[in-house]
Amino acid sequence: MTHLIVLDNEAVQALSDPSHKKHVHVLSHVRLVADRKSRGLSITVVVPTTVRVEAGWDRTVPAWAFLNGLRIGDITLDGWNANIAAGIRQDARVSVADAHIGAVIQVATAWKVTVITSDPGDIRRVAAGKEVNVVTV
Amino acid sequence: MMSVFALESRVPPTDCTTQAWYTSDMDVMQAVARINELLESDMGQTSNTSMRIPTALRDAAAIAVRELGAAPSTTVLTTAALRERLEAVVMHAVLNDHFSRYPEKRPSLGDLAVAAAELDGHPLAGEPARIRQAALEVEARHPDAEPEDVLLWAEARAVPAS
Repeated sequence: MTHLIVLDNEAVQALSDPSHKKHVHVLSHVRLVADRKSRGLSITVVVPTTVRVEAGWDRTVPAWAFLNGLRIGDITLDGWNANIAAGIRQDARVSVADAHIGAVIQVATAWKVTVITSDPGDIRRVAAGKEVNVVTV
Repeated sequence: MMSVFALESRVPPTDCTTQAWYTSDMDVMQAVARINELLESDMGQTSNTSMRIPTALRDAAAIAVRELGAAPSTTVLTTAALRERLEAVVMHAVLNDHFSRYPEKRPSLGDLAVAAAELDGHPLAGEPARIRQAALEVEARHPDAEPEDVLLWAEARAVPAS
């Protein structure tokens, strides 16, 4: 019974840069996740690896140490998910990263999926009817 | 910087029968990096441990597993809870380090309440100004209030008086 929170490129950018105008907004969500974990709730923040590519988030680069420390897990694009993402990209005409987010939403077994994004329209489109909580930054 | 181990683990409690398997002068962020590394590593390797837990807690966990299906085993239940707690500890350590560098970026109670509303799909999620006002009102009387307290207050205030 996990609440899965997915970051898009803008959310990653905002979280990584303290001078970003949306930094505190995204940081508030991460702080809330930490607080809820402390209370024993199953809640986790993830980033699709294609979003990391788009955002330039290389985990081996010291500049990303802050995000690396925040327990934000990778969701890789394996063969199975690539097939789903390919279909989404064809149908919804979105970027590879957004198609990957769509695949994450569609195959998630979590009881709730939230996507923190700057483009709620694209996220609803790639969800293709699957229930998703969209937080706009 | 103070070691995270300094508070709890450098001096073993008197009822601890296990010798410390580490000696550490790590600072907080080194400890965070090491914990993260360990949390990411192979969880297939297991160790017997002489860690002592209250008998009642052990028995309660066994009943939760057997009768309520809380987890496939008490070991799974225990390790899952420990992982969640460790992840929270790491996240808080990293966030506190960040806030020490950028104190002006520490979210206010209003910020956290807005985030809580958004994460929970709360009916007031689209009204951040109302939530922030409620946070100011709650915080004035209850400095230790939680974001969920603010949402409850904001919701109560939003209900028209009959």
